[in-house]
Amino acid sequence: MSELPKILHVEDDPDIREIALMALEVVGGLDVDQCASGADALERAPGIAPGLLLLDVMMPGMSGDETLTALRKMPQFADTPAIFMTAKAQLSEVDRLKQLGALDVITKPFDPMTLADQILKIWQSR
Amino acid sequence: MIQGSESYLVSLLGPATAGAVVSLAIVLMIVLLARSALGHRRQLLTIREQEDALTLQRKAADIHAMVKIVGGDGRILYVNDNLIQTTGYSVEELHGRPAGEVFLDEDPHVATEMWETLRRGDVWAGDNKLHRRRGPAIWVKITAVPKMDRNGTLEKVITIYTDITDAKLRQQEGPLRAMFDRLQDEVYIFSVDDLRLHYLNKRARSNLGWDRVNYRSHYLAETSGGFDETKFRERVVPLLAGEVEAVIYESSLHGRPVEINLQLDESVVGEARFVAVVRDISQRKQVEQARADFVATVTHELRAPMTSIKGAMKLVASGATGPIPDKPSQMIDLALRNVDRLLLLINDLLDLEKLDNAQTEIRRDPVDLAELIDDAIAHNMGYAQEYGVSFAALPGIPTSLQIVGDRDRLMQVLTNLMSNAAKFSEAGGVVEVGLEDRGDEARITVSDHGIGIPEDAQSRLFERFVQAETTEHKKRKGTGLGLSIVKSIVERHGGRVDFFSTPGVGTTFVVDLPKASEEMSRAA
Repeated sequence: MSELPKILHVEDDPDIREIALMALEVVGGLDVDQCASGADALERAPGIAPGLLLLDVMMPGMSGDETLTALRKMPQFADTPAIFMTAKAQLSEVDRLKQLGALDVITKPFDPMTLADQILKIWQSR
Repeated sequence: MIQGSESYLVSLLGPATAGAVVSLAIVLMIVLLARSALGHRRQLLTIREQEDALTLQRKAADIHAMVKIVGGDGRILYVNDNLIQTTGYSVEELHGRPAGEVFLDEDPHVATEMWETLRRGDVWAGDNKLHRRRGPAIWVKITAVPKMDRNGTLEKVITIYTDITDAKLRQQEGPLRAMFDRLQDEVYIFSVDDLRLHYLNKRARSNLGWDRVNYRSHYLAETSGGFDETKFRERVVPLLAGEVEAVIYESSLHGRPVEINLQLDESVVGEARFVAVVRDISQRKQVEQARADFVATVTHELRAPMTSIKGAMKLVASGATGPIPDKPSQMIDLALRNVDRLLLLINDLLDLEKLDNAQTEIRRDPVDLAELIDDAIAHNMGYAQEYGVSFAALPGIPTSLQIVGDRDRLMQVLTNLMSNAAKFSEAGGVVEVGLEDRGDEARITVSDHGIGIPEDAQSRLFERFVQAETTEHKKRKGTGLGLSIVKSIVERHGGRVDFFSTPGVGTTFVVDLPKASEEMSRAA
């Protein structure tokens, strides 16, 4: 898993944040930092300097796609690969998110035992 | 003669009296001659006046009506400009031709009666259709006046036609139009050829702000800013070809979403016209949007906690959080199985909700069913292993068979049918998937050699939450929604699903899909 860069995971649900952290760090052995909102991510992303963005879509305040759009405006994140996580599995939603420049969309509920593998596969198929 | 008379008078009355009588006669003659001359002058004036009046009358008739003169043999001698303009024929085309052959619907009885009346020297009047060189006929009121020669033989007939099409339409369509005026929907009637408006009901006039506009001189394109005639003509092809009775589609009018129901109608003069009934669907759209929002919210609200529950239990069960004793581990596995069952149910319910909603998208992409079957077999291998069965494509199936459809949804159809077949097969059994090119349709079959479906459950198999009630079936419980979803998806593709089952022998599900259904390919 070492080939994956540092991941910034943005998720408003603290329980899901904890599961994801376990899945990525403990099960997958990845380097992960987490933010609880889009605003939090915008503030801390330059300091974290992630190489991959993992964004929840439906968040209060700033949605995942709004967060990505705002991050893209920062020169250092203009091309950073991004993956969305959503519970809305409609095809139109998946297409819309991909059009925003996301590598792929992972639907919830995700399997914590395979989440890291799933992300690695997406990363490798860029 | 006067001289002779005088001699006679002298002999009769005597010279003096006779002289007086002659003088009186001369005076009388002068008076009579003078009166005669005066009368002649007066008569000359009347003729001139009459000529003026006739000219005026002819002018008025020319402007108001169509006029034609035929000879006693019925051949055309004269037509006025109005008749030429209305019918579209040239003078050369008409001159000398039998009038009935050119203009009128010759009902033999009417024609006979008319000519008999005219030959008697009487005026004939009636209604008939007047044909035109192009375009539909018009209804006319006819007055035919005969001119007889000195022998009382019919010499000419002057015929005056008045256009009464509007009156006929009002008379025949009046009650219908009164009903249209009471509708909340907009009604438009317009020509097939040039889309000229014939009728707008009250609601349409009001929404257009055309209450005082004479819409009959306007065209359909003027009723909507974004009207695309090419697209409209494409839509009506099946209607004009008689393949469908109505074309129904959604569009936007006056800034509101509308559903348009378009049909063909024939007017009293036989002209083919479009009748468009336009229904405001703003409210329906709002309800659909609210429903879609609800589904999205429920999806999120149910899936978010499920993510945490399932995720946490999986992490614990995997030992990622530390070792757990056997008994708690068994309990966690039990809980996980039921979480999966609950997730399946949530997903199935949301799928059905989406499929029930006409707004839910069904993709219309080229899909190779042979390739899809291969993918479905690979994708569901885990399921087959769980039940100790195997999936196999029937030998000899086409290597490629393309249809227009939604790949993901069709994959769901195959997955549901294959997982069902696996679930109800004996361990070691084979589930066979077939594909057949049947001309306009593609047929997919999924067969198992399992326990079969009891006869009493067969008629209700595609109903929601219906599962066979045998102990054997209860052991292999699902959500009872899988086949409903299959049916919904297949029907959204314009196809059919059926099955044949013999208890104890096995079951075959048959899915017939149009290769490119009209609805699907049109939108593709």
